[in-house]
Amino acid sequence: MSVRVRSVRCHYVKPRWLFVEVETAEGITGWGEAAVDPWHRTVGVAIEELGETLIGRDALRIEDNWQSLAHGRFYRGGPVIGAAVGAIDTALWDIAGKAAGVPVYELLGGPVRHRVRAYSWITMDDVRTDNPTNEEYAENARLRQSSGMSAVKASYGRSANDAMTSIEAPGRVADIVDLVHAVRDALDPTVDLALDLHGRCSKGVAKQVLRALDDVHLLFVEEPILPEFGEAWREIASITRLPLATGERSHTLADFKSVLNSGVTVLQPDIGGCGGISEMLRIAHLAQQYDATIAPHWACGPIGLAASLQMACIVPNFLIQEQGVDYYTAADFGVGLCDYLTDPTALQLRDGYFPALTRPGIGVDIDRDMLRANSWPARSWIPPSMRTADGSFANW
Amino acid sequence: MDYGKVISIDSYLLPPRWIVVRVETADGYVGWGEAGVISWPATVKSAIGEIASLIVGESTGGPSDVWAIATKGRGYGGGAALMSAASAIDQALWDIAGRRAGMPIYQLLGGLVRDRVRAYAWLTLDDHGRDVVTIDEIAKLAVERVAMGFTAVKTGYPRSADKALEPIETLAKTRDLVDQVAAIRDAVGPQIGLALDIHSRCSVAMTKLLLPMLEPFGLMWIEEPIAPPHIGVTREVAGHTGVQLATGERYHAAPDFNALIDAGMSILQPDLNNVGGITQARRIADVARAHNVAIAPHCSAGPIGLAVSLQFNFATHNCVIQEQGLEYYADRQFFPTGYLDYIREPHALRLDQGYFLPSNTPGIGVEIDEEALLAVARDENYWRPPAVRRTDGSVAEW
Repeated sequence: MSVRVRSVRCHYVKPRWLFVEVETAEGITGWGEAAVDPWHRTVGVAIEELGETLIGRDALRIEDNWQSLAHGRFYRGGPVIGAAVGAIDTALWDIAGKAAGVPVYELLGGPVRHRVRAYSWITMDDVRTDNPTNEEYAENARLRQSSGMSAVKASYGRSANDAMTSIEAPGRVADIVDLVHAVRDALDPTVDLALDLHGRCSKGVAKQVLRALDDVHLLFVEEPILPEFGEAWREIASITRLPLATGERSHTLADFKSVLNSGVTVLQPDIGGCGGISEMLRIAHLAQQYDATIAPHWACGPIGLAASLQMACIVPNFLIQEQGVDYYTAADFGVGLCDYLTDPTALQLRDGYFPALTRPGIGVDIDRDMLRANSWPARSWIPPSMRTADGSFANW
Repeated sequence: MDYGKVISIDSYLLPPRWIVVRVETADGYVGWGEAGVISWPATVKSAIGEIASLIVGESTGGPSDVWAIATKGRGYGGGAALMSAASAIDQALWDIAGRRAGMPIYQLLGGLVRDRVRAYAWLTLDDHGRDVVTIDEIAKLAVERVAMGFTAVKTGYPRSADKALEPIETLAKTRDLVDQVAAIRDAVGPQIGLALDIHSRCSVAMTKLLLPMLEPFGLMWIEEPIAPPHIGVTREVAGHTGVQLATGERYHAAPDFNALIDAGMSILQPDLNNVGGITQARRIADVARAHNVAIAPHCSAGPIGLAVSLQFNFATHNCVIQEQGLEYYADRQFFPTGYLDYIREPHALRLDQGYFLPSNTPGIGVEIDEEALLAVARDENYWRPPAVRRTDGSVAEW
């Protein structure tokens, strides 16, 4: 059995997503999604370059294709290549599932769960005013709780220009701690809270923050420092009882290995940034050997979310799925995340869980009319530019 | 110091496979840089454009400030494509800084630390349309290079670029790999530096089998014994040989180099065209110095990337030797566009008995003939490594 790849095409759609369509000579079409927000155009070009390699090849030889795509050009790694390979790999799995007439999780050993727990954001970067108060965070948290969610995540960073320096005044640490307490107190004890520090803290500040949060129960603390500082993670992990999480900025199996060795217990690979279903499965398997859990990062559209849910159904050491179904709504963004699906109810949350997607492939079908109606000519989104008080560059 | 607002960042693809960047400032300075990740030309070019959108027309500072924006300004960063794009822009900013000061970049970095920079030549016929290359041919090439004045040469496995190695090779093939090194050493004698580039084509098992067999030949180093990013395994392999191990061309983050030092590498090979330019290479060299580790910059790039690498060598004490391909790309039959065709007064790129000499030309040390460069620039410059398969049809490292 073989299915020949005929074309690899990018679709840029609103609000800022990049879908990839892989067509085959046999008429089966696979869909993937690239995740790297700030490099849309470059990822699109990388996908086109990889398309040259892929056209004419057997789409069903997924692992062989993965090797050629990820390693066949000598230079490798990083977010652009991780996203381009991830989007195409997802599309190839979609094709394989459709060719077999089963969801991807049936190809990869069958489901180990029938529904997938998810969490919601309570930070409203795109749609709310600057400098939200603790009460606004708490109100958002209560809103999610009342819609049935069993977990929420707060991102620290109150305004678009909220740079942190290597040494912060006690007031800054207290501000983070106060925010966490305010949200935690607003939630029922059965509902989990996670905190995302977005890699903005120095090692020293991260230690102070984590120490100050020692009496709070959190699902995890994400990116207390940037993931690249492997050795510093070990130090940080040794001074806190809270689970530490990272992964949205790790793009290969080896990247994850280095953080696992440093005491991180929650890995957050992004299916559209870490090399797709193929590499994410390897990452999950590696994590299993460390008794670490997988809480996949996903901040983009419906295709990557569906692919991530397929993974969640396969992986025993799965914890919880990030998602923006209740964030990317038509009311706030003009087009909703689910609007791109022929069946918009497929990704509807029920009591804080996604039901397993049982349709063939990644389990959702794309509405081409919606792609056309919501094409995104800008193809570029740039995070806020941040500077510290002395005018020097700061990490967003 | 007023660094002048950047008003344009343009990139060009040049034959046979170079990616170069031209940066212009509002006060009329023009700087050039080169991106070394040649197997992703369109992707790197796009990344340069996306980085440019963060810089052009903005109030930015000197190379260090622009480096931070270029490498971290979009949150996600790192990896081959993005770091190579950022490298080219960084180099161009240093070029401008030098021109503004009326000095070569080595002077901005603290001045000359050596009178000349040693270079080595490749013993390869990769681009010469050959299916099979014999040991005798490689040994003959070595003698020719030494006759040209080179004091050091580098050979690689396998001799024929499109031939894969099996995870564990036969005794016959293993002997052949050893014989290749032995024959070159015999041909050039004991005074010539000889390096071996394994290019990550051996498995860990094969590397352990092979390395002890190579000890008698007095190698300068063995390069890329283990595929990136397997730094942990590298430590294990380093324990199996007395030969110095080198790697770096496919690492793009400073912390990776710290880890490589910890793993027993005694020679680091950052490529200024993909590691993050001069700004990042300096940081890596400084950390290496603290560990008494040497730098042998990788460079498979064109004349601009090489010129930048030389500036770095002239100012960085723990640099030991520079990779380059002047004589390799001089063969007009396979490279119709000459290596120096769009370089005006290329004295900074002339080899004198296997060494480069410093030039006083400001910036990167060469002047670009823009008209000649634009005449050869084209959008179709796709080069990629050969698709190499093992005998059972599975994908192999190129």
